[in-house]
Amino acid sequence: MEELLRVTNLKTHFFRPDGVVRAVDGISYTLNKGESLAIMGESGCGKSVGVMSLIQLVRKPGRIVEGQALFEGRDLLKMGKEEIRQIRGHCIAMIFQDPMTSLNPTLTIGKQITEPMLWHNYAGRQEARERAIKLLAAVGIPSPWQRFTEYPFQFSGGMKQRVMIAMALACEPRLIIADEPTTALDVTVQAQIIDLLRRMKEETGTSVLMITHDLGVAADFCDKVMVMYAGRVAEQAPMDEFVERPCHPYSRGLMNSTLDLGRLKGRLDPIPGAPPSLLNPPAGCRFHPRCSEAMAVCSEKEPELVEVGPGRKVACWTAEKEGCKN
Amino acid sequence: MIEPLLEVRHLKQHFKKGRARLRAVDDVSLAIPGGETLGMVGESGCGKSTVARAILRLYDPTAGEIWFDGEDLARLSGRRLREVRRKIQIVFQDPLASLPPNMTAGQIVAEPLRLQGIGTKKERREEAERLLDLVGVGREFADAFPHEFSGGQQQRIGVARALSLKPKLVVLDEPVSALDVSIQAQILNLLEQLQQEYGLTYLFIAHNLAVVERISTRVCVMYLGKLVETARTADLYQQPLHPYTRALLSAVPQITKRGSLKQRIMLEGEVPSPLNPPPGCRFSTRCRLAKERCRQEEPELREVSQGHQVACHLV
Amino acid sequence: MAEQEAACAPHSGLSPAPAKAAGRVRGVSRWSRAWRKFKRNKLAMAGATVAIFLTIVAIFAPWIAPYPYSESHWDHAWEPPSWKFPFGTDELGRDMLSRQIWALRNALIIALMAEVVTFVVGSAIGATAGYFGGKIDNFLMRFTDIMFAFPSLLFNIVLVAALGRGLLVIFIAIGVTRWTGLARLVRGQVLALKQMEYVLAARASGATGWDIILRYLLPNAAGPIIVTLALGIPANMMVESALSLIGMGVAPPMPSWGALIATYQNAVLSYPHLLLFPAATFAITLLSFTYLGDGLSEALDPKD
Ligand SMILES: Nc1ncnc2c1ncn2[C@@H]1O[C@H](COP(=O)(O)OP(=O)(O)OP(=O)(O)O)[C@@H](O)[C@H]1O
Ligand SMILES: Nc1ncnc2c1ncn2[C@@H]1O[C@H](COP(=O)(O)OP(=O)(O)OP(=O)(O)O)[C@@H](O)[C@H]1O
Ligand SMILES: [Mg+2]
Ligand SMILES: [Mg+2]
Repeated sequence: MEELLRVTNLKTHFFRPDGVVRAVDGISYTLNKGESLAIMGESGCGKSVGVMSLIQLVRKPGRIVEGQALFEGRDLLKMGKEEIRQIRGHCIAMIFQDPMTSLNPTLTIGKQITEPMLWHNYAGRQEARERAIKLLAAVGIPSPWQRFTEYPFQFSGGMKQRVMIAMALACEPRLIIADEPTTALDVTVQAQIIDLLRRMKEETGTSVLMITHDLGVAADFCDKVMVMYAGRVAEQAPMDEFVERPCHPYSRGLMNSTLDLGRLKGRLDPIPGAPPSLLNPPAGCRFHPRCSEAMAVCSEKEPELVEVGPGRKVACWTAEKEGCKN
Repeated sequence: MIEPLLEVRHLKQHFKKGRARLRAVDDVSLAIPGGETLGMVGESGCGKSTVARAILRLYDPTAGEIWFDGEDLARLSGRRLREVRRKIQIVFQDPLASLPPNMTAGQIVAEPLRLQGIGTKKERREEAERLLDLVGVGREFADAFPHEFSGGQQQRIGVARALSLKPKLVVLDEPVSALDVSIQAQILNLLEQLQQEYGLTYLFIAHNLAVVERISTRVCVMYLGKLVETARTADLYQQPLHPYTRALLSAVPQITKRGSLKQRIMLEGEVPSPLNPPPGCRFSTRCRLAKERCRQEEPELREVSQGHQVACHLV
Repeated sequence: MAEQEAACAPHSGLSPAPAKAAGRVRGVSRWSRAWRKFKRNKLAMAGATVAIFLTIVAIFAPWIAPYPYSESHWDHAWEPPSWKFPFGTDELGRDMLSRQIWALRNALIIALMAEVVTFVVGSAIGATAGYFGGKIDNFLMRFTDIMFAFPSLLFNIVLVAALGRGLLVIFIAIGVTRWTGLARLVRGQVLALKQMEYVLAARASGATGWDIILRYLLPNAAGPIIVTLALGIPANMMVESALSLIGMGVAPPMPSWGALIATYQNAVLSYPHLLLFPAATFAITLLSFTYLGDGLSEALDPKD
C-alpha cells in the first residue's frame, strides 16, 4: 500500500508561565492510503494537539518544537501560511468534536459547504451548489435543497455534526482528521456517521485519522490503532490483533475498563489513579506509577517504541524483554 | 411483588415555550424496589433528566404522582418537602459544573448537612472527612477546591455529597458519561460497592447501553417523553421487543464483534420534536414496521411476559 | 487504590495538583489564584499602587494639602511652580497643589459613591430579575432598557440643575444613570448560575432562596461584578469632569477637576502649569484605575 502520511518524532509543547507542558512529546506513526487509524488514550494525553499540529493549528502558548510530518512527501510542518492553507480543507479536512462551535452561526449551511470549494478552486459556483446538495443528501439530511438555505441554529446537534462531515468531504480530501466525531451523539446517529465515513473510505480511498475514547467505535471502524499516554505513544497495532491481545499494560487496562454489551464480568478491573500532569511527568516510563507490572527499570529509564511484530510497536520494558505476552 | 421504594405514576412534566407546550415527559410510570437499580436509557432530549429532576421535585410536576416511602412527593411543599429531601439525592453528569467553585471539598460534602441543620460544625466536618475517605478522595484533600481535582475525583466528591444525608434513593444522571473509560470503571465499582454496603437504591440514567447493562437490575427505555419498554436487564438485552430498543441495541459498536454496525437496524429520519409529537405511536415516524394503526392509535405499555412491558401494537 | 489515586496529580496539567504538605492539603481558592495572577501583571500592579496612593491622598486631603483650598495668597497670584507652591498658584493666589488634592478627593468620592449606588441598584434589579424570571424579569428589564436609552448626561444635568450642585446630588445622579450595564450583567450571571448543577444539588438538599443567593449565586458572580465596578470608577470620573466642565459639577469655591482644566485652557501659553498639572494628574488617575480594572478582569477571568 502507498504511504500517505509519515509523522516522525513530533513534539508540541505549551510554554506557560508555570512551566512547559509537553503535550505531545515525540510521537511517530505512518498512515497508508485508504487506511484508518484510531488514536486512543485518556483525556489530556495529547491526542487533539497531536493532530492539530499536523495542519499547524496549535494556539498561542503552544509551539511545534520538533519533528516532521511528510504528507505525500512534503513536510506539513515546514510549510508557509499560504501553503498550509491550501492543504487545509482541500487535501486534509478536519471534523471537530463540538459541532456547535465549529459552524459559523451567521452563515447559511449552504454557504459554509460551498465556500471551501470555491476557495480551493475545486468547483464553480453552480457545480459547488449541486455537489453540496448531493453531499447533504449523502450524510442523511432530509430535503437538502430546502435545508441548504437554513442556518445552523435550525439544525439539531446530530445534524450539525453531519453538516460538518459534508463540509469535510466537499473537496474530496485525501485525509480526514476526525477528532471525536461522535462523542456528543446518540448511538443511532453515531452509527450513521460511521457508516458514512466507511462509505467515503471505501469509495474514494480517503484515509482517516480518528481520535476516539470509544474502543467499540475504534474497533468497528479502524484498521489500525495507536494508544497514547501522557504525550507519548504506548502502542501501535493492527486493530484485529489489538482487540485479541493488547500488548502494553496500559492498553490492557483500557480494555479491562471498557464495557462491552453482553460481556458481564465480575468486578471491573480499572487502571488505578489518573493520568499525570504533563508539566512534570514521572521519570522513566510515564505509566509506571499506575502500572501493576512495573519493575525497577520502569521508574528509571523510558522505554523506546520497539517493533514486536508486523505493524506492531510497543513502548514497554516487559514487552522489550519477553515480547508480547498473553 | 415487594412494595417499591419509589413509584412514579403517570408523571407529566410540560414546559411552556412561548405559546407552545413542550412535552418533555408525557405520562411516565415506573417503580423501583428498595435496594435495586433501575437503568434508564434513551436518545438525547427524550426526557431522562427531566424525569430525574421531577422526582427530586426540582420542578413542579404538571401531573402525576411520585410515591416515595408512603408519601406523594408531587403534593408536598415547604417544610415537609425539605425533610423528605434528605432521603433522595442526585449526582450529575458534569463533575465540575456540579460542584460550587467557591467551596472546598469538605464544605461541599458537609453542605447538605448544614442545609438540613444536622450536627455541629465540627461534627459535620468530621462526617465530611469520613465520606471523602469512603469515596476514595482522602480526607487530606478536604481543604482543596473543585478545580484542583481531576474529573474522576470531582465525581467522587459529588457522590460523597449525595451520600452525606444517608439517602435511601440516589438518582444518578449520567454520572460517568463525561469520564474516561478507566475512571468510569472506577466510579462504577465505587457505586456498586456503596450500594452493597448501604443498601442504596439507584435510578441510573445513561446513554451508554453497556454501562446500563452492567449496573442495572431492571432497565427502562424512553423515547420522546414516554417509556416504550421495561424489563429485567437480561430480558431486555437478550430479547428486546420494541423496534426502537432493537434498533438502539444494534447500533452499539462492539469490540468483540467488529463491523457489526453494518448489520444494524436502520432508523430513518430525525427524532421528532417534543413540541409537537406525532400522533399515534411516537416512534411510528421512524419505525420500519409501522402500520396504519401505529400512526393513529397510541399503544399502551402492557405486560407481555413476567416483568416485561412493551408499548407497541406489533408485539 | 484510594491511596494511589490520591497521590496522583489531576489529569490535564492545566490545574496544578493541590500541594500536599505534611499530610494535609491546603487548597488554593480562586481568589488567591486570581491574586497570584494579578501580582504577576506588572501594569496592573503599577496601576493598583498608584490608585491606592491616590486614594490615601484623597482620604487625608485635609491634612495633606499644604493650604486650605480656598485660601488666597494675594501677593503670589499667577506664580509658576516653586518650593512654596509646588504646582504654582492661580489668579487668586490659591495653591494649585492643594486645589488639586481637593479636586482628587471630590472626584474619588463621587466616582466611588456613584459605584456604590450603581452596585446597590444594579445588582438588586439584576438579581431580582434573574432569580425570579417571568413577568418580574420582563418588567424590570424593560425598565432597564428605558433607563439605558435615556441620554444619561442630559439626565445628570437635569438632576443637578434641579437639586443643586452638592456632592450627594452629583454622585447619586451619576450612579442612577450608570447601573443599567451592571443590572444586565448580574441578571445574566444569575440566570446562568441558577441553572448550574451545583445550585440544583443545593436545592435538592433543601436549600432555601436565601441560602442559594448568598452562598451560591453572589460569591460565584462576584468576579465579573467586581471587574465592572472597578472599570466604572474611571468612567465615573470622566462623567464627573464632563459635568464640571460645563459648570454642573461641585459648586465653587470647592475645586473640581473638570473646572480646573476648563478654566485655564485659554491661559495655557502664558501659564502652562495651570493646565498641565491638572491634566497630567487627571490622566495618571484615569490610567491607574483603568489598568487596575483591566488587571482584575484578567486575573478573575473564569476561563483557565
Ligand atoms: N492552550 C493550551 N495551553 C496550555 N496547555 C494546553 C493548551 N492546550 C492543550 N494543552 C495541554 O495539552 C495536553 C493535551 O491536550 P489535548 O487537547 O491534546 O488532549 P486530548 O488527548 O485531545 O484530550 P481530550 O480527550 O480531553 O480531548 C493537555 O494536558 C493540556 O493541558
Ligand atoms: N427547564 C426546561 N425548560 C424548558 N424545556 C426544557 C427544560 N428542561 C428540559 N427541557 C426540554 O425537555 C426535553 C427533554 O430534556 P431532558 O434534559 O430531560 O433530556 P435528556 O433525555 O436528559 O437528554 P440528554 O441525554 O441530552 O441529557 C428537551 O427537549 C429539553 O429541551
Ligand atoms: Mg481532544
Ligand atoms: Mg440529560
